[in-house]
Amino acid sequence: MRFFEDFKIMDGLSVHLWPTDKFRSVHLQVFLHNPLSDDTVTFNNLLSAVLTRGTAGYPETRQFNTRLDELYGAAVSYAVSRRGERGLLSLWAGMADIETDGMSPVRVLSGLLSSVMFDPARSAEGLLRQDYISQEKSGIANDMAALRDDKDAWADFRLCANMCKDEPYGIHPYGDDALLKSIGPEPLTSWWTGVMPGFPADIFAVGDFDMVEALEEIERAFKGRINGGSDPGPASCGMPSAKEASFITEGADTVQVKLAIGWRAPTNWADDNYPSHALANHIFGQYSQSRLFMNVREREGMAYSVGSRIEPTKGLVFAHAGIDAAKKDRAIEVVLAEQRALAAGNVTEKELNEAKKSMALGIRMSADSPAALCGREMTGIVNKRRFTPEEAVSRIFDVTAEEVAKAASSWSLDTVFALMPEDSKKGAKP
Amino acid sequence: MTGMYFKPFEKAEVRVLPSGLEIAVIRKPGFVRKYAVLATRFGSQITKMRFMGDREEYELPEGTAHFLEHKLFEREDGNMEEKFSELGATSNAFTSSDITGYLFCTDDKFIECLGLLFELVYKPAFSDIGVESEKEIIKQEIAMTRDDPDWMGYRTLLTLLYNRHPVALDPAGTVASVEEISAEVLYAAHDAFYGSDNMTLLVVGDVDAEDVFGMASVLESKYGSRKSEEVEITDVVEPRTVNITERVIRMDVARPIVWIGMKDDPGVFTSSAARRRMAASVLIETVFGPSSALNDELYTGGIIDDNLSYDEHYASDYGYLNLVAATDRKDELIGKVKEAMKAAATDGIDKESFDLALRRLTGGLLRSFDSEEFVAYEFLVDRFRGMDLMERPSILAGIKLEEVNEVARVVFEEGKISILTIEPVRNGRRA
Repeated sequence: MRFFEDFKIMDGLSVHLWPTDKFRSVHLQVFLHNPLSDDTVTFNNLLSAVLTRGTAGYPETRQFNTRLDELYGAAVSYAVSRRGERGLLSLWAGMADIETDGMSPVRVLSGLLSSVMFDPARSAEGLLRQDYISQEKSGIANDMAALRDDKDAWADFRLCANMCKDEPYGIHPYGDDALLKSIGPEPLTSWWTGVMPGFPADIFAVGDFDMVEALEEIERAFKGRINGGSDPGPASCGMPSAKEASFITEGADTVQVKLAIGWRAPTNWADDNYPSHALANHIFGQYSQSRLFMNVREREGMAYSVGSRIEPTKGLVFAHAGIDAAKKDRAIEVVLAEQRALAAGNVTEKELNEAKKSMALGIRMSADSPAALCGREMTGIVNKRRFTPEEAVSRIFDVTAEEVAKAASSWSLDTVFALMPEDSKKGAKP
Repeated sequence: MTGMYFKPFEKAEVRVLPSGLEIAVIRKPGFVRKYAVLATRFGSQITKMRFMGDREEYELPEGTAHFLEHKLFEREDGNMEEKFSELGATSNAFTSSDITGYLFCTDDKFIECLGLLFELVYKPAFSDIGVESEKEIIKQEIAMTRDDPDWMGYRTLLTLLYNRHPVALDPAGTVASVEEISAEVLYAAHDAFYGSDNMTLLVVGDVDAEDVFGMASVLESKYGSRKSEEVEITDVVEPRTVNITERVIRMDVARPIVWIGMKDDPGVFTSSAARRRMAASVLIETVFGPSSALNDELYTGGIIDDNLSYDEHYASDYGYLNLVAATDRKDELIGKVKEAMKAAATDGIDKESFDLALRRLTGGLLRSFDSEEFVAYEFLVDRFRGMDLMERPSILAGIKLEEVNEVARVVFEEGKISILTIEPVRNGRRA
């Protein structure tokens, strides 16, 4: 089943609507495509943090939050993410499916999100407010520092930063610290008026609405404000040729070693060979009977948390494990051996079938969550090839054991990263 | 709140089988996933019990419920998770203070999975070898939580709030207590708490309730329904005031994280924990929520740079609220939070904030119902604590301002508040 009806409003502005009575809330999400760079990540993060502080109609943050309470706890949020080398800025508004002042939720949300994006609180000079900018700069600087607090996420980031140090994909999720410090009201306002409206946009709405009304409301709220003309650049830059794998360790005040290992996989979501890579990754570390789970956790008892994932746009496979410090080398050995075994064609019919069914359930279940489904659609849009969940499932079922082995054998080990306890004898005690 | 219209709430259809097993079905039309949880009224807070007729109390090492949850998947010829995988389903389990739940989700193999779920929960195959090897995995789970500031903050705060109540115990236990667990301990706990009459099966998804009742009845008897061993659980008497008012721990964090816990009186809400809980949730929404004066002052004053996060937890014999924020200005944060608490306790909440909080909470509750996980977990937790998730919207609509003010007077009192700060390690050393 194709969930979304697509409407091209103009070049660089498309609307995707799924009217359904399945949910109790209405979901509206705007995705803006941009080239992934320190500039876009840093500016987009700060800009969205400032835009969500208040609108011209409700300029003080407390007024704005009170307005959201009046709309039955409507929520507005943003995310700066990436698909390969494509940056995505998404702004989201959601609310319970309740009419407010005679207005349907889709109308309320379109107006709300449009006013957040295009009619924010400003100073008398027309600039974005200095006080909000200062506070949000300090908030983002703190978030940057706090990324280290979550040791798994930190190991993950340090792996990417090392592995992709010469590629945009390796940049910090919050952008560049020095650039952030330098941004004042003028450059941020110029980014907002001159750069943001030029990002090509995809707007998604999911909920119990009338399709014609929703399209009208969204057009009225966003057409003429998003002009979508700029080229977001390629989503996947060329893979560097195979080099010797790097082994990197860094220290932290942890109890466990956090291990993160990355491979290059020569594939992309749109390629015909992508399902074989995705399935190989699933068998490797993404389902409950995966190689990593069964061997690192169940057989060797070295980890509680272990697994892998695939980045479908750029073609990267990542494995992670939180392990006993004394067993770091053994754990690396086991993880690498499992990848080699997969590459050598050591795949049983049983695990092939189980992994296919497990992937199929995961893909179909995305239809139970508007956010998950919109995220899936965006991966398709970025990579210029969209599949319905059923099409994606049937592609997975067509993969053979030989193709899984061929995919895994084409992964080249790039970087092994370990976040090590600075003193492995200690433990935090409350 | 007049004129608010939303689609009527789902109803839970409930049936009790002759074995004593309770079955609840919440239908979610159009959902792909069918989600089932078989849960027992046994969690980490039971550490002592007495089998009927025995004089001696039987000690359960801390972490027994959680250990049992891990090991119940073990079979001589592999593990039960594998059988769910063969069907393309996913399975999992969780343990909290008063509940252990086993779940699966599937799109098209519901009846097969339901059979496996009964087999999983009713047919243990604990072995000494299996128990020994699991200890290493659980110790790594404990080690992992020691590196997690969120978990450490929350668990440590509970130890400050509670003197004796076992809700403060870590579900995983400790490295030492896990060592004491044996296959014999696990069988004793299974005999005591895994009888049909101590459990609830909940199904959420696009299913027909009558079909589920019929299937469950047949499958349950196939896998050996039985009553739980009769046991007495030792009650604890928990003082009104907190155990420890203030503590600092050090971890590898970027800046201080402050946790504030507020302890409600045990006993005052025994008649209706559900109602007391909703009143408490309105209270924290008005005092700490994004549109509160306090949040605004802290945020615009640069003391915090994200909205405060806060939560309430209620069962039949305890209730507490908690608040958490990262800040470089800890003393100012704590000072202003205490001022706001004092003002709420003394002057009460204004009507306008109260009405707004009701709107926000009602809308939030409706949105949460889009998540099957939320519905499943909250329904079971409520049920085991004598509450009903499906009644939350109507209880909320009936909450009076005076009830909220009464909670404020009790939980914001001196001696009812604990403050934990996680300070960054300095020079790479934990203090």
